[in-house]
Amino acid sequence: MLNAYVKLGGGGNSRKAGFTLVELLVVIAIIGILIGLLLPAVQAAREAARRMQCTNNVKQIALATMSYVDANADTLPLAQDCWGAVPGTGTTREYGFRVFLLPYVEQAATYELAMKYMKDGVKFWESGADLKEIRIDGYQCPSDGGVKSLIDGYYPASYVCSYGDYCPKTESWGWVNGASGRTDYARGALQPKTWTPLASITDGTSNTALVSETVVAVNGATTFKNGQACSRSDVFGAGTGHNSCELSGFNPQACLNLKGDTTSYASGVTVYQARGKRWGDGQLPFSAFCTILPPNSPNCSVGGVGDDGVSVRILSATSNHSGGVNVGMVDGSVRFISETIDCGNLTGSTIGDNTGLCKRSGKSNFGVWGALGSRDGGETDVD
Amino acid sequence: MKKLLSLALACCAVLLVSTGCGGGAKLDGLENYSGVVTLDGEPLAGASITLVPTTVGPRGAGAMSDDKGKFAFQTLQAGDGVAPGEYKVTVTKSHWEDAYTEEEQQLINESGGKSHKELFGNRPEPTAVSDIPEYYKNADTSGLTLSLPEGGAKDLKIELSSEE
Repeated sequence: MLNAYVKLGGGGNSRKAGFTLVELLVVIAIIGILIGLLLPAVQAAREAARRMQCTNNVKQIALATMSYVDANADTLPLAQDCWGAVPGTGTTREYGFRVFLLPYVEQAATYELAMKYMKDGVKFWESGADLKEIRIDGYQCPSDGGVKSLIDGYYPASYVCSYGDYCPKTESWGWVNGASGRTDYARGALQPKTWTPLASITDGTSNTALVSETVVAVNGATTFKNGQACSRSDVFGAGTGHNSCELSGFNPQACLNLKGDTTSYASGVTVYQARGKRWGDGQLPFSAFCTILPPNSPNCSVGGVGDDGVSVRILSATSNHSGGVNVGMVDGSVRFISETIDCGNLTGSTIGDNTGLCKRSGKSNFGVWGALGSRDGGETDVD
Repeated sequence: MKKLLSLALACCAVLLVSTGCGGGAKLDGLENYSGVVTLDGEPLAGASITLVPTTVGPRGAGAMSDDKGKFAFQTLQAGDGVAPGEYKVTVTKSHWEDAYTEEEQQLINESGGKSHKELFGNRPEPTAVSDIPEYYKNADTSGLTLSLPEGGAKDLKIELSSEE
């Protein structure tokens, strides 16, 4: 084999010009090594570019919100237009902040279409054929491959609004049903049924989170980033339930415990594909996050049975960026928040409606992350 | 020459394998602790254990027990461990009774926010029933503590009793 020469040229001379097979293989191997060295760098550069796009989208949404504020009597958009939001209609619509921001991200035509359904009291994601397969690029983070897939004919959205460090009672999928006498409340930048006045953000617009990212739900591929543990459909439907999602004895750490490995929930946890699903839908699992568990933590739904059942949801900001998530502040700035951000003591007593760890007023119990979430907590240590 | 070639190929393979993406953010000073949780001497599966810090940190930690009652504490990521120190321990494990069937759940989802009573009348609402005494849920009443020594440990035992 060592004598196997590759002849170059047609000269019948005794001059042996060319490379041995082994020499060629060595050269190929060296080229292989070089490509091996280069490939991760290329992939990292591609991811960096995608991440930049995601950061830019967050910034655009934050700026769109400021435009909204300018055009709407110094108030921020609704997190969710829910039951009875417009007097006299009494319809269930649940349109989310992503719909109300459309005119400010240059999607006026889509906005008009959506409003047509809203005025009729119809959820367009249930029967709005002409909004099917409409994709709002500015609402999609390319680091997450899942944004390309449709669920029931509608595209998901990667961006979720902050409801702060408060864990609201919720009914079914949405915010609390005002009709049954309970009050809606959130102390994040956006609220359900209430247009937050800019002036009520007393912690400062640069210290209050407005929007962040979520890894979106994909049919048949549930991770702790895009799924919600212990959702009613799964827990109660299956009749098995998961102890960690029982309100009594629940603390945020119990939700964090459900993280099985780098992507999945612990075994035995029932999960619903929920996050970011349907860009128009303002229901909590689809369009909100809270500043309780650190970025890239699981999502949990706890308790909440029937009319009087107290229920909390812990919905985390998640992304495929290494080590954290982008967070847009109310003033339009964007910060990258690390997974190791101070979240205070997550193992405290049971959380509930203004009991235990979740507060309606005063300094957040969830460290710097909680302070960034609250709009009027009066915290001093947010930098 | 052949040796050189195989060496080169081996290097190539090692390079390709080793250049994965870096993992998530890590906390400093964590060590690995694992063990078994038992109820009356029997392994307790699917229990959620929470470590409430008393000497370190404000950061707590926790774990879920597997089918054999085994657990490994984590702080932010699975497998990242816990800071050594003194902790109070809480344990919860329960199951749902009168759970909704899939058909009932479908009805709820499509009802547009109707209450349980409006939909199902006197049918009992689903309730979570604890499989272990309630006092284990609270750090102040559980009576359970763990002292995690420097250097990690693999043989922790959390022993529960079903006697109230």
